[in-house]
Amino acid sequence: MSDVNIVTLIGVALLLVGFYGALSRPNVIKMIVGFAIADTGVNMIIVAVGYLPGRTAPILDSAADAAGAAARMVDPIPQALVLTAIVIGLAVTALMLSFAVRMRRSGGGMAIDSYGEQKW
Amino acid sequence: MVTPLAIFAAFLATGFLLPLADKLGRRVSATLFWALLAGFAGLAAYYLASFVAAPGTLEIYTGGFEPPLVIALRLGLEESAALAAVAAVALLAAFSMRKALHEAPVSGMMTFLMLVMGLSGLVLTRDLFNLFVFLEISGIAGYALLGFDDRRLAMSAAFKYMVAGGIASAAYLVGVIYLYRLTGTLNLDLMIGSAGLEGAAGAAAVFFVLAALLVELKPFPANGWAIDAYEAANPGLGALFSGAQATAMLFALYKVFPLLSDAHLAVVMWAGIVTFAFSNLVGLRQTATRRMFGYSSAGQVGFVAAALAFGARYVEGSDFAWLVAGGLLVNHLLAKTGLFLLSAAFESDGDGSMKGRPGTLVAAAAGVLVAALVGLPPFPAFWAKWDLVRVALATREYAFVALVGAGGLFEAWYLFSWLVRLVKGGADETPEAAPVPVLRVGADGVGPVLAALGIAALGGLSAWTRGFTDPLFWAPLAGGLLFLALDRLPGKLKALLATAAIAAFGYFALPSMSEFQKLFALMILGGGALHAFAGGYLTGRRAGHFPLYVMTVLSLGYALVAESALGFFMAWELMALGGYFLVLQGAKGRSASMIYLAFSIGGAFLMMAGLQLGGGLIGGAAPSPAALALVGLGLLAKLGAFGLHVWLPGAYAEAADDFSSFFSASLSKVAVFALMAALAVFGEALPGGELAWRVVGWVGILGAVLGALAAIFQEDAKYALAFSSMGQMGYVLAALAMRDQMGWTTALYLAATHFLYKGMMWLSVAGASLRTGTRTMYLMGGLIKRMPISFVSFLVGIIALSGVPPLTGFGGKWLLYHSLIAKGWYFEAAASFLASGIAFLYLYRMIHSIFLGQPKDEHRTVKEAPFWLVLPQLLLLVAVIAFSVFPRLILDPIMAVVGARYPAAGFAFEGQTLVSSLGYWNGLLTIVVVVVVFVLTFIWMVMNLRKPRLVKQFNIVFAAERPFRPETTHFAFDFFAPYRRALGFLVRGRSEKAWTAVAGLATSVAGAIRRLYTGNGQTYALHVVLYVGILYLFLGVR
Repeated sequence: MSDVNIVTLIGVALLLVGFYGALSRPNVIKMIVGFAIADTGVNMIIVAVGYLPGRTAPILDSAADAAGAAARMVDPIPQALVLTAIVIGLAVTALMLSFAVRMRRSGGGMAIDSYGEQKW
Repeated sequence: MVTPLAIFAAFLATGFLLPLADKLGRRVSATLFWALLAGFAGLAAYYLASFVAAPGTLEIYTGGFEPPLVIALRLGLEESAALAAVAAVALLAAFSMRKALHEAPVSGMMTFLMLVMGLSGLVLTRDLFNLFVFLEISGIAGYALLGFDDRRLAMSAAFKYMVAGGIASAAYLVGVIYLYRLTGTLNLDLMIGSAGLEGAAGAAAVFFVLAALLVELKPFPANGWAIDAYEAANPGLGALFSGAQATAMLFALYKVFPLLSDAHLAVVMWAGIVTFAFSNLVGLRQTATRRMFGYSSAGQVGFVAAALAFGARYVEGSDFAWLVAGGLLVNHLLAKTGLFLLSAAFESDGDGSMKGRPGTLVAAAAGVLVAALVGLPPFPAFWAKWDLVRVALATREYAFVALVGAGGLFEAWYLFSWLVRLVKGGADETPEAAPVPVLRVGADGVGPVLAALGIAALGGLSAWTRGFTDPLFWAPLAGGLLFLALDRLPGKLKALLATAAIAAFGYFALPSMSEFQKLFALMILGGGALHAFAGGYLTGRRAGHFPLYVMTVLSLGYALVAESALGFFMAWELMALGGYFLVLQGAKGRSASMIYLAFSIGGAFLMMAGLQLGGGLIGGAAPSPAALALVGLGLLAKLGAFGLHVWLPGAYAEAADDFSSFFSASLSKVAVFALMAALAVFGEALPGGELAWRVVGWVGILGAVLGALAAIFQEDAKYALAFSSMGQMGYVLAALAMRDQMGWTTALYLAATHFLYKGMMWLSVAGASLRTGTRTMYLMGGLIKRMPISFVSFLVGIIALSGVPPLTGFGGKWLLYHSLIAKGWYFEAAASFLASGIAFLYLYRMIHSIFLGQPKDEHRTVKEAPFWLVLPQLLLLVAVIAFSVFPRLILDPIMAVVGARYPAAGFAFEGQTLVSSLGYWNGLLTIVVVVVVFVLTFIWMVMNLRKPRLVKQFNIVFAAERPFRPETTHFAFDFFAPYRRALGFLVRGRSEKAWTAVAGLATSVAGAIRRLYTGNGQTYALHVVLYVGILYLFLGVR
């Protein structure tokens, strides 16, 4: 099994793109989008780790029965984990967005540097 | 035993039920909320009690399978202790937030419950992915709670927090998934020791998990977001973050330790201790309370993490983690929770201004919390620090020890400054302002007091389990508490009771003392009892004075008899703490007490390091020059040796008058005692050999010269006496540095007689300033007729000090010159002769300005000092006379003590005559000669008087001038102006300037560093990313 596959590479790329966005765009919404992209990247890395070449999806159907599952399926654990990670990522993104909206309503700007009253 | 899974079930069920229950009314939902929290706390307490009674662990496999198929939880002693901590803080925090929680939508309470549940999950789970889930649950709940009351600052802080948390989550997930890939499991216990962890990939995967947990612990400098969150949060929530969340996160970190290599652990250790030192450094610049507490929290959590990693690297077994990291952690969480709640009760907006000052009980609680956080005895952090420093020195992690010391000093400075603002009210030194009213906080005071009680109980338990079961050890604390309980009694009654308490301590302690200890017990406990009695001279209750005074004196007493270095050190710190509060009680004691505190804490840390280097146990220690040097430096700071004396004048002068007297006459002697004891234990060798001792001698002599010189220019009687004390202790130090029979005899004799005459002088001045209402000498004058006993006492005091025959001072000077010359220290002898000459000047000035000359109009009806002051002076006076006439009374015990260490050489008695190689001295003969000369000249004068007549005060017309006000006939202001012009340049406070520069440097560095905290969430995110990168480099370089 190869340590590097195309999904991992794309995942890492998305992670870096997302972080770059979050660190370089002053717009709060764009920062959140950056984090969402990074989350997706992480999720892809997770899925990629469970991937085994030439195997099928971890679903008991005609492609893999209970007896041969272990030999014919990819690792199901990362796929289960990624579901949790997606849900959590969604919750965090939603919370960030709601804070962004309320910060805007409380009179702040759209740029992160308009919230620097607390410092030092 | 109830399965801990019930915790999650109960929290989730209640969380879902709350909105329904809220439809029936807020009362119903609130009841449900409180019932759950209380039940959780009860369950945690039950777990803890069960595991204390029967150690073991409970492994819980969800779903009925075994790992790796299912998520496993573990409950054992450590987990239940952490759960109990989370529950306790949650209850206190919720109680403090009760108003906000009840007023906000019900989702506030739901979120609070989810946060607590998430933290419990962090403690219990043994599954790395599950850990991530609980990390996120508690994280999301925390972000939401931060912003739940809709303040813009809080929301932007929460957003910054989320940004940092998002980066940490990504790192954690990537790390965990690769750990899974490498080891084939997510279960921590199965992962430990797995072959997959070895190699670069394993190390990198572990590093990502570790880095995420570290970032969540808010390390310096990647913690701007956390500081903002602490500042913006509701103080109750701040307590929850600082206490409960930090505990759970530290526990999570501790859990993954078995996965870590030594290089990983080193990263944790250094990241933690650097956070401790630098967060506290930056904290120096804070006045906004909650932001300051934020820096302190980040620092403390870093300290605990560092201690955990240190233990994992260097110490076998889990006891170290329990005692040291556990002690530090529980200390921090209780103290910081209490402080956040105090700030909630007393501050309106967190900018440092107080709504009022607390009553005695809450003030005492505040003092306990601050002292505990700073690591003073008898609280848990004190014991933990002691052990940590011992092992760190043994493993030669000197930089680590230095960072521990520096961080502690910085933290002490700003926390005690805050405490002063709290208990004295007002922002800065405003003694003239109207007294700040006491704010009755009612129920809001319950949390801090409970936290203080808890921390005190745990501290007591720590001491007890370390084998301190000696009643004398507990006497200072018990005495302090007793007098706190009696604080409502009248002051005079308490003075008598305090005298009795100190006498009782002496009665029980004396039988086990050596002659050497008894000599100092006379000065310290005898002086303590005398000054306790003198404490009755003020009318009123003197609220808070006697608890502190009794605690201080009895700690000094215990310091004399302590059998272990730890016992001695604990008494030493307790004494410093008591002294600090007593100075603070003075009307203008603020800045003086802070400087005193800084030198005490700094000196004490050096001393602790020295004691540890020297082997820890008095008696079992090996000679060690480095140990002696460190301990000696700490002691010289307490002695007020030249260069380290800058705290001394202010502290002596600004304390209450009776305590000033005790401070100078008695307390300063404990440093002499400890120096002599340290030489006995650690040997006489200093790094640098004989030259170093010569330098010490010169430090003493310079103190004598410059102390005396500074004293002559003071207008304030107490400052004059304070500088005088500095000078006198300088002689003692010089004599000590000689290290031979003559030198030590001199040192002990000078110390003992200084105790006698300086006590008389201080008390006499206390009476004069009580009656005249001023300490400024030129505002007094002519008190001789109104206060004759005080005058006589002062007169005898100055004769005894000055060294003219016939009183004890003459003997002191005789001994000093003889021993200096015999030692071959001729220049020192000359300089001390000069210092004695200068001493005449200030002594003359003092008696002239206060008691002689013309009385002021407004002082024509003043009365003699109260009996409470007069009696101690008379007792001291009798002692001075007795020791003058029969020097053997005091010199025999001294020479016996010295003889046990140094063979008799130089000084020996022949009958009543003390003989040295240079001459002899007979005290009785000296008295007789002086009296005969005096009587003869007096008779001669009387016989030669021609028509003497008494004149009225203003009848000085023969001077061709008719003054109308007494002031103009009594020259007292700027008395030594010509000398000031000639010699003033010598006493322009260079030491003060040097130390001010050091302090200025620290605050400038702090000011520069905190520019990192720009307030921009994106910059903070960059800090986090860079921090993780840099830590990775450190890992790679090793």
